[in-house]
Amino acid sequence: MATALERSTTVTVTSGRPAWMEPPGPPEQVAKTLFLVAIAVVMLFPFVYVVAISFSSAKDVLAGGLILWPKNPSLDAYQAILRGGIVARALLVSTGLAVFGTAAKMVATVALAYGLSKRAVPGAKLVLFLVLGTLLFRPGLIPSYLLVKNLGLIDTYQSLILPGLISAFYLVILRNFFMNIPQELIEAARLDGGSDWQVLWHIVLPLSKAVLAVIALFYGVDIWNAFFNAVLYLNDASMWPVQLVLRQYVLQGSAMASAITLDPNQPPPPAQTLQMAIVVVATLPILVVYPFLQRYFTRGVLSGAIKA
Amino acid sequence: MAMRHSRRALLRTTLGLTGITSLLAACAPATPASPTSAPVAPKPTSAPPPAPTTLPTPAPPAATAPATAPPGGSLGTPTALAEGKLPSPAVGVPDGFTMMPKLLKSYDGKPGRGGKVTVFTIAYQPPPVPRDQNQMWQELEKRLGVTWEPIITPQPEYGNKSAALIAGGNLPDLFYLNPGQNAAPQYKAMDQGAFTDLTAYLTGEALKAYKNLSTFPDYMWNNVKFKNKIIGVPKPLQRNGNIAFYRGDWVKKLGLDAPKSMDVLHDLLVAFARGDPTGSGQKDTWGLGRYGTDWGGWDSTLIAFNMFGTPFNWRKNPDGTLTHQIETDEFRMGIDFLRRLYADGAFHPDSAGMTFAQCQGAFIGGKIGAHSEGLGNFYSPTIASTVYFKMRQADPNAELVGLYPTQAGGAKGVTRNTQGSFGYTAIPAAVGKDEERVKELLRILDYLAPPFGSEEWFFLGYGIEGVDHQVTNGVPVLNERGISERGDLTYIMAGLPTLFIPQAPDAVAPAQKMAHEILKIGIDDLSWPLYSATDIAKRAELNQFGFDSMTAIITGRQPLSALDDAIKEWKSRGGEQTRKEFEQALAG
Repeated sequence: MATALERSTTVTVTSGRPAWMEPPGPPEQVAKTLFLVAIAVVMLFPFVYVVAISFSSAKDVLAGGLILWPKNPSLDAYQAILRGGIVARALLVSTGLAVFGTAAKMVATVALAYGLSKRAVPGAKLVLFLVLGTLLFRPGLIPSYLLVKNLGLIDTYQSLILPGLISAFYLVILRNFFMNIPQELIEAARLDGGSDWQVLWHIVLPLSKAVLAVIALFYGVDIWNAFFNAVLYLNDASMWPVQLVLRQYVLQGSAMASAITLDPNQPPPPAQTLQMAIVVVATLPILVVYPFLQRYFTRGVLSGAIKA
Repeated sequence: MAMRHSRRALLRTTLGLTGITSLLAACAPATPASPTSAPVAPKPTSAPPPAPTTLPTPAPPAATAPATAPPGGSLGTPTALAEGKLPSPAVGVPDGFTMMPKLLKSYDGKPGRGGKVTVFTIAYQPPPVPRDQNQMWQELEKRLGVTWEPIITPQPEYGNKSAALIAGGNLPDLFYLNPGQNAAPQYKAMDQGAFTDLTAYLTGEALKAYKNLSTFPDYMWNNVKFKNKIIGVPKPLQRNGNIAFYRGDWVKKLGLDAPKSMDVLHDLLVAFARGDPTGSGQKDTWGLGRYGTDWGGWDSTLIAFNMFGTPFNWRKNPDGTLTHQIETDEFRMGIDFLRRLYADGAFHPDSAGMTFAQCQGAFIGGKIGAHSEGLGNFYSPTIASTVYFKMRQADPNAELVGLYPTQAGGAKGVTRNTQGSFGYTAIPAAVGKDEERVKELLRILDYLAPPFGSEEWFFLGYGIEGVDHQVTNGVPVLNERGISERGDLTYIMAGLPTLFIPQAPDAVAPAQKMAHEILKIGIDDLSWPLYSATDIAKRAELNQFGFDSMTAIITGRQPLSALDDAIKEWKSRGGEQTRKEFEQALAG
């Protein structure tokens, strides 16, 4: 009895950690791995399918069935999309919008969030209340259009950025993050003679890199994916962002397919192939950016989840 | 729906500009605006009864001021002279052309006066190359004598953009109206006088100033009237509606008879599903695809309704009252026919949720054996990008046979015509205050509706030689630059449909004959020119209700007798009121 107890105590002591932190045994490991692999496959499966179809030859796609690897790889669909330079131009527009738009949105959001994170600012409550109101009450299509039109923003890139410059949701996240930064750090900076701007720039922002990266990513993706405002506010089709142009290709997939057939004896890529190629082209830039932000991403998304 | 455009676009590129329109025409009506949206059967406007053949002719507004009007104008159709012309045998059947004609100028001078013209247009293609790099656009402006600024609007967003523009005021100079494309609120704007009444400009003597527009058949003008007024200039579309075709090679392989009666047709469609016509050894074929999106179907349901001679939405009784198609025996027989087909397994398992594009894909891919589609898709397997062509790519032995309603259903079969147009271009009221401006804009539309074989037709269809197209063996072929330069720059208008198939000139005569045969049994929706506020407000809702009710019966969830309840509910939810309003409008 006593020995047994002793032994067990010894074990606990030697491992130096509580039971729930013990490394799992091999069967558990295997089960976990299988489970996670299964989930990963479920997540990756549609994507592999999309990519495979986009590179498949017309014949294979028309024959139907599940394609997970292009049997007769073909670049027809991509060539079709990139011909004429319209998509290339739109990619440029979208990149510009994403870069400048995200920058503008970040500046505005950070500025307001920092201001509102200070309890002493007079009227902060009211401003916050108004901002939160935008979460509940959204302008309809027509009022938004009239506002943008009366501001003279029709046919400007600003019309795609200024409406909704600050997302109330991200603002609240950011404000709460700022409020959780230890006051002592800020007071110390103050004692050293730092102004509000200096405190923000040298103390608060560096401490908030994770959440800033995440919000910037969200903003960037939002801008990248947006197309409806462009339909509404841009009369000049040469200003269209890539999502709107690609949408035209997707929706009118077969129209496009026909439109790009140069040799009447050569069947155009089927609509499905084109659509998948478009999905790849539209998603790729975001996928490329994501790994660079990933290390911030997990931290940022979890920020505020656990109180220290 | 996407398909429709697709087809349209392709045809356009492969055939001449005019040829295309005709072909698409065929497809257009059948395809609802979008998979989710209300079915097309565009029923844009309303107005008094199916007008007499000639339009009322109010005096043209204020005599023209010759001083300001530029000289020139359209010269009439040079096509009369064209070699290889197969003249239309009847109104509504396109002229056919078996060879590239010698181009003649059909317009003298420039229609425009040098200003800017903004144009709201629906678009099915990616945006055109920007003006500064677009030679065709630059040349277009030179020819029109104006700065041409289209507001290219993707089809799915057309309704929203239209609503926003109308709410914002300051409408563009030319406004493409097509309420059937998710833009029913346009009716309200028309009703409130947002657009110029063009009746005085486009009827009688006044119309003669626009030579090309004056060649438009009367039905085109009548079918787009709103409250007896001409609000816009219709964009021509072929009259033939959708028509069903089936796999003749499958019938042979399975040793079946041609469908001479509805019973034989039933057995044939079931055999497509139960047999193995593709020889794959698997159960992977069916008779029919999706059944439609509303009461009328448009897809495989329409096959049945047409076979039984169901009226196109409304039937006028001798006493002047109206009977809706769902209240007719023919409709009930059609539903019963489909119900039995479903029970016997002739329908594709995904038929309830299929989009038009998926249904078309299933037909091309040899999964279903019968399908309803624009006529232009079946003229010949040699016409690139048509359904027939694509099917031959997938299966070189594929044979398509027309399922003409008269063959199987006895002499009562029908097909549903299109309005002969796809949308119409209006001039906002504010712009219309200036009569000279109205005339200038109408001249521009006139220019954009050139006759086949004219130099203008060639330019609008093929752009500039060496830049936008190459001529091989006398046949112009748009190149990739031409396709992206042209885009939907001048989508709002086109010349009358013609049959011109450069790659398959032999297909022209049979195609024209086919179009004629089908037009003979074509029926119109008598409510096209009629106005009913209830119809406009309730149509989408009732269509959805109709589709749901029909689905329940066809799939066997409910007995055929449930149709009576559905009709009752349809009446109480606006059907009866719509009938009353149409009857009143009809009585005039």
